[in-house]
Amino acid sequence: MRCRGAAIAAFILALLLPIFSSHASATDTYKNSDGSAQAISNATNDANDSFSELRKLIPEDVLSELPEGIFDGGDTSSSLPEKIGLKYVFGKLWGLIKRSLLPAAGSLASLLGMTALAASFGLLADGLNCASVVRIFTLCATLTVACYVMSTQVGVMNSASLVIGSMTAFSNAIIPILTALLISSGNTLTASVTGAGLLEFTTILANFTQYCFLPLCRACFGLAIISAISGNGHTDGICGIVKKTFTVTAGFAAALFAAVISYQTTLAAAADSVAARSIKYALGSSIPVVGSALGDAIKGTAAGLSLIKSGVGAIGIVVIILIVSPVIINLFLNSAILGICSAAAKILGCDRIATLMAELKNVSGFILAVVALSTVIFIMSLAVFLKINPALSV
Amino acid sequence: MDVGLILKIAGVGIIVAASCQVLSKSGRDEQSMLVSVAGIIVVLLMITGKLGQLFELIKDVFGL
Amino acid sequence: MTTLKICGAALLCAAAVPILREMKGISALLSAAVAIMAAAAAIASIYPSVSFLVAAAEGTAFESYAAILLKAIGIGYCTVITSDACRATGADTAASGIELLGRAEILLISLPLITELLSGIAGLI
Repeated sequence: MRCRGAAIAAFILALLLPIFSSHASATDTYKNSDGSAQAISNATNDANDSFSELRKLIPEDVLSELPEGIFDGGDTSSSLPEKIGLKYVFGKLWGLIKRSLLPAAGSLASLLGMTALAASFGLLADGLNCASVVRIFTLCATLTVACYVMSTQVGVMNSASLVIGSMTAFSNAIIPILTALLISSGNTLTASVTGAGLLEFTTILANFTQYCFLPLCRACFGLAIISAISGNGHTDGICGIVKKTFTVTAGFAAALFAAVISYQTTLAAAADSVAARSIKYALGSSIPVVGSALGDAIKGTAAGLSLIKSGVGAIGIVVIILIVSPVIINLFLNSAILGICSAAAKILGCDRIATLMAELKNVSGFILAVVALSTVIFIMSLAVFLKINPALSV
Repeated sequence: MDVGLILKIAGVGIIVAASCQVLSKSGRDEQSMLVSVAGIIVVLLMITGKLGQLFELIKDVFGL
Repeated sequence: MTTLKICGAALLCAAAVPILREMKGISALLSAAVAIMAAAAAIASIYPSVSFLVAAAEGTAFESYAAILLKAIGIGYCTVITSDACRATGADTAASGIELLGRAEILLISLPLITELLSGIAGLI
C-alpha cells in the first residue's frame, strides 16, 4: 500500500517535471530568438487572446486559487514557471490537506461515536438469552450505523462524479485552444491529428467513467450495505474483482493511448517540420533581399507561440490538479476514516459493523482509483501538447 | 422490589402444600384442589402488582 | 446490596421448589416471581448507563438512531423476561408467541431505517 502510494506520487512528479521544464525551455527559446519585433508582437497578441479564453473556462472557485497576473500573456508568460511551479502546486495541495483535516476529524469522531453507541447497546442486548431477539437487535443496530454512514458516502460519490464532469468539460474546452495554437506554430497536421484524437479519447473516457465505472461503484456500495446487514455473504470478492478489472483495463488503455499518441505526434511533427522547412527554403530563395529575414521572423514568432502554448498548457494542467485535488484528498481521508472505524468496531465486538465499514472502504478505494486514473489521463492529454515543438522554429 | 415477597410466596406455598396433603389424606380431594387453586390465585395476585411495576419501570427506562 | 438480596431470594426459591414439588403451579409462580424481581433490579441498575448514553447522543446527528436502539433494547428485555416467565410455568407455546411478537415489534421500529436505506440506495441508482 505504501509502495503503491509512493509509486503514484513519483509518477505524478515525473509528469509535472517535464511540463514545467518544457515551459522553461520555451521561455529560453523565446528570449534567445532574433527576428522582427513587429511580427512577433502581432502573432503574440493574437495568441494572447488564448489566455483570456482560457480564463473563461476555469470554474470560479479554482480561479480564485490561481496567482495574479498569469492570464496577462505576453512577457508575463516567462514568469509562469515561478508562479505556478512545483512550489506553488505542492503549497496548494498542502493547504487543501490542512483545510480538509478538521472536517475529517469531525466525521471520524461522529462515526466512532455512532459505532460506540451501537456497540454499547449491543452489549446490553448480549445479556438476553434469546438468540433470535439478539439477532434481530443486531440487525437493527447495523441498520442504524448503515443509515448514518450512507449519507456521507453518497456525498463522496456525487462529488467524484461532479469532478470528473468538470475535468471533462475543461479538457474538452482547452484542447481546441491548444490545437489553434499548434496550427499557428505551423504544426497543422499534428494539430488536426492530435487534437481530434485527444478530444475523442477524453470524451470516450469521460462517458465510460460516468456511465460504466461510477454506476459500478454505486452498485458495489449497495451490495456492501446489503451484505453487511444480512451478514450472510461477503462482497469484498466482487468489489475486489471489479476494482482489479478496472485498473487492468484502464491501465492498459492508458498505456495504449500514450504509445499511440506519442508515435502519431512524432510522425505528424516530422511531416510538419518537413513542410515548414520547404516553406522557409521557398521563402528564402524566391523573395529577394528580405527572404532570409522573413525566415528568421517566422522562427521568432514560432518561439513566441510556443511560449504561449506551453503557458496555456501548464495553466490547464494546474487547473485540472486544483479541480481534482479536493476530491482526491477527501477520498483518501474517507478511506482512512472507514478503516479506523472498522478496526474500532472489531475491537468493540461488532463484527457486522466492522464488515460494513471495511466493505465501504473498498468501495471508496475503487472510486479513488477511478478519479485518479481519469486525472492522470487528462493531464497526459495536455502534456502531449506541451511536448510538441513548433514546426516553424526549425 | 422487596425480598419479602419471595418469603411470602414461599410461605403461602408451604401452607397450601401442607393443607393439600392433609385434606387429600383425609379423603377430601375436592377441598384439596380448591385450596391449591386458591393458593395459586393468591400468589398470582401478589405477583401481578409487581409485574405491573416492572413494566412501568421498563417503559420509563427505555421510553416505550 | 440489592444484588445480594436478589441472590438470597433466588437461593430461597431454589430451596423451596423441591419442597413445593407437588404444588407445581405455586413453585412455577415462585420461580417467575424471582425472575421478575431480578429483572426489575437489573433494569433499575442499567438505568444510569442508558440515560448517560441517551444524554451523550442528544444534540448529535445520531440522536434519532439512539432513540430507536433504546426502544429496540427495551422491547427485547420485555420480551425475554415475559417468555422466560412463561417457560418457567411450563407455557412454552406462549413463550414462543411472545418472542415472535418481540421480533416483529423490533422489526417494526426498524422500518423507518430500512425505508431510509432503500431510498438512499435507490437514489444512487
